[in-house]
Amino acid sequence: MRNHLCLALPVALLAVLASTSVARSIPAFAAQTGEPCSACHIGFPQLTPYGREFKLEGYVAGGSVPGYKNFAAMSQAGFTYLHSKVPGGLAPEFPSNNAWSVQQTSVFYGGALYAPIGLGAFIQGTYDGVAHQFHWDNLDIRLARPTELADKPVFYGFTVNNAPSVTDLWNAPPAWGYPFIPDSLAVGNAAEQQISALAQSVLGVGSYAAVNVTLNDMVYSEVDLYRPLPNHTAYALGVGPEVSVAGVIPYWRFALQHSWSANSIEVGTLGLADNPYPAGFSQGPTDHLRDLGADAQFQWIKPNQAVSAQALFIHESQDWAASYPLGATQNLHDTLNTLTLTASWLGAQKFGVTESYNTVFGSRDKGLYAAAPVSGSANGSPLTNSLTSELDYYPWNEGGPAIFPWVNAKLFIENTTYLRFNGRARNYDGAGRSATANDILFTGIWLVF
Amino acid sequence: MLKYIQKAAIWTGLTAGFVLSAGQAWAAGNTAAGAQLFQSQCAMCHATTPGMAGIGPSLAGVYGEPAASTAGYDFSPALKSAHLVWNVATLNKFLKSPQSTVPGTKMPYSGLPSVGQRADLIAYLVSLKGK
Repeated sequence: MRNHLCLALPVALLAVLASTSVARSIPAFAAQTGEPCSACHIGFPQLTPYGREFKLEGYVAGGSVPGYKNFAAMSQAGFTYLHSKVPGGLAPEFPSNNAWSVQQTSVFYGGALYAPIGLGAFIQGTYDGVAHQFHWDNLDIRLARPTELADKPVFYGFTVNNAPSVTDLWNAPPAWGYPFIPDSLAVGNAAEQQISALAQSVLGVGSYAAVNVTLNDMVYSEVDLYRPLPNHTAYALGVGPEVSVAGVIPYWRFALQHSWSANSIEVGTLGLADNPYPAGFSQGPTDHLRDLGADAQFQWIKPNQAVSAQALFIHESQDWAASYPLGATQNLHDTLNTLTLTASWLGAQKFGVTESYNTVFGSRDKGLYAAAPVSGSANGSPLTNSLTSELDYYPWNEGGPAIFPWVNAKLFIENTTYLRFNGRARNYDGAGRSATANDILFTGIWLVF
Repeated sequence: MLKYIQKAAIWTGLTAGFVLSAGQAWAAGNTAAGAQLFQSQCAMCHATTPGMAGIGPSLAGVYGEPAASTAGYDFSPALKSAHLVWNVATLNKFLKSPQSTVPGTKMPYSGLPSVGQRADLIAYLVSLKGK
């Protein structure tokens, strides 16, 4: 009898897990729309045409007012292996290599706030399991309305959000671009552009419009104006200290999308300008940073498989009018560029492969990129080249187990190989560390429910 | 003979419906052109085979039916409570701007602006048979 029970329990469990329920996945949005994750996403977080329209139209499709189904949670846990250990630990309270971690646990509100006027939101709060603190994460509250312009259908809207490009409909720009699952325990390279660095440290308002100039061609434009969070607010929201930037920070986005049959292609441009104070200052002269980018995306989506590719190039012009006189930079003017090329395949809504090439290059400046063990640059160069491969398995992309239909998961293995790191392939930090020492294998699970 | 009478009635109804609904001269749509439109605009989400739901419900036999009545599909509360019947007038209005017509509908589609194209598409939807 006992043997029968031992056999029956796992069989029953398997049966429950095997019997999937239709039309649930990314919990809040899926529960609202009644659609599976695959309706809006190629894997995660890449948006399908349906997902783009859903976001464009204010997250209200299928919803009315907030309900318990609009709340969801997510957790990302995994194992990190570096080619060579990091003396002192991968992060405070973490070992020097081979580390298990629950990197982030998030709660969400997603969906309609009041559908009759097109008001909806995506709000995320995250507990960072590496930094051991809670912080606000992606925020996008938008009001979207349909109208017509010269007999062309238009969706226009207004947004309150906290990161340049978090509002984006395509998946090349930084907020939703590759890497889709960054490892917080990786050794970070020395350089970062403003468009990425400002995420969650600012709050802005914006407006956007999407005009369908033909049935298959859309013109999208967006302008946002951001202000940095005050220091006490930044700390209260878990993202302190403040980023010290004078005045408002304009961000703009323009994109053209052409769709035909199962295909869509997008080309666009984006940009940002800000005037940060030198480190340690919150008044006085400022530097002037300008980001100008171009992106493109192609998608081919069929029920049983999908292919997508993205390209993003961003050039940052750096005028150190304030920092250079202080000796904080080596040059008065610098540049910093990034290029990211990504290609993905998703088969049977279960198996995903993504390949990505990323390069960061720009002016040598020993003031910006100083020599330091592991994280520094011996020659003052930001040059970093890497190749990333990601293999994914989605057990529930078209619906979770019958007992838990809104759950979705992504089991992943991600390997990044560095060809150059902070300027060199070998002895990049002046302390004998090679770029390949930072090669990283990250495997784990991304679970939403 | 009965078939011709039925066909004439449909086209008469279409034309009358267009005139009544929009107060302007409407021409009956072209089914073949509507089929092409369906393929480029609708087929990614909607099937025409009865009972086959995709992202959206099957549109087989949708014409003349109450909205949100297709079996096997989880419709939005908004469409369920809209109490529409899919005829020329309601389809014409919905296809022009789904979110304006039924805020909260699960169909995030910006709309079909051309009167003629809507007529073509409706003609095609009329031609789709249910079970």
